[in-house]
Amino acid sequence: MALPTGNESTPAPDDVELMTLIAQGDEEAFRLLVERHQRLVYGTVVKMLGDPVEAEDIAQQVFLRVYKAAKTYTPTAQFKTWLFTIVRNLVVNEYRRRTRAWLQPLPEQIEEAEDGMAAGLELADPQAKTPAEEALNREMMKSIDSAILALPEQQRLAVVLRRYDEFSYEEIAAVLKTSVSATKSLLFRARETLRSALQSYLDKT
Amino acid sequence: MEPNDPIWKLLGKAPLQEPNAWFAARTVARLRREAKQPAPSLWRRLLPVSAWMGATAVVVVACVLSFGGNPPRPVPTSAELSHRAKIQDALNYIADRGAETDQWLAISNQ
Repeated sequence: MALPTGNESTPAPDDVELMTLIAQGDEEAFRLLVERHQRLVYGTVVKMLGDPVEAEDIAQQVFLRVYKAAKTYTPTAQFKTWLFTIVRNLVVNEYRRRTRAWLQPLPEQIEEAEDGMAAGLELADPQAKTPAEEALNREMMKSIDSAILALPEQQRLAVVLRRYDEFSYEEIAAVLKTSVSATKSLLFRARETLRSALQSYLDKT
Repeated sequence: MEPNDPIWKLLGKAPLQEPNAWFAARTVARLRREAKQPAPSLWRRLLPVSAWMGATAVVVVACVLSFGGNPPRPVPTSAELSHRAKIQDALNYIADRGAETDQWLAISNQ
């Protein structure tokens, strides 16, 4: 079945409509849903785990869970909030599995992953013109990602959802299963920690 | 965090990483491979658990059989040995006295 992607005159089906089709086993609807949300899901998991390879596996698992849950899915909450609750659960599980299995990435692995992350973003910044500027830019991105990775789990997810995924406080609170005031508090503490960790870059700007 | 916050702006300089161009295709392929597989039967799901329970039961039975029939004897201490020797002496004495009594009884019965 060829679903409209939004480029044609017919509007693209919304997430709830896609979920209804997925519940009937429609693979094309599933592919469309993945394409629509892959950037935020994958990008969030990379920011949370710091490992692009592991992130692809976890992001795929997120979408497989969506497929399996489609038959029982009831659109009581916003789809995005529901989707990121799955992201949160899988990331937390992975984080705990790593902690139990002593699978925390080694410093060199972090460096490689961050190099990979920075390399993936190389073309995203047209401002970096000289090799020296590029190197500085890459170094700064590594420092930012390291500072985010060093935050406690809840603070990290709150920051990523707010800054990169543009979630409202209410949506973050729903994903983290906490109150709006607790979410604001998490973000405040995260901001203070990040300010302290990235002070040298703040002084330059 | 406000959009005008310097930290907020700084974080924006390390944007989200894009997924691989084949991410969606690979996810659909994985769906075909994994999620659409028929769910394993209850027996197959319980098999690992029952195997573990069986193995545990065998170990427990083996332990009971090897140690239950012949409980290991404690090694006596020197104080216990001395106490036993005293008891043995006392029993020997009683036995000697018993023999004398038997002889006396035999004589008196004659």
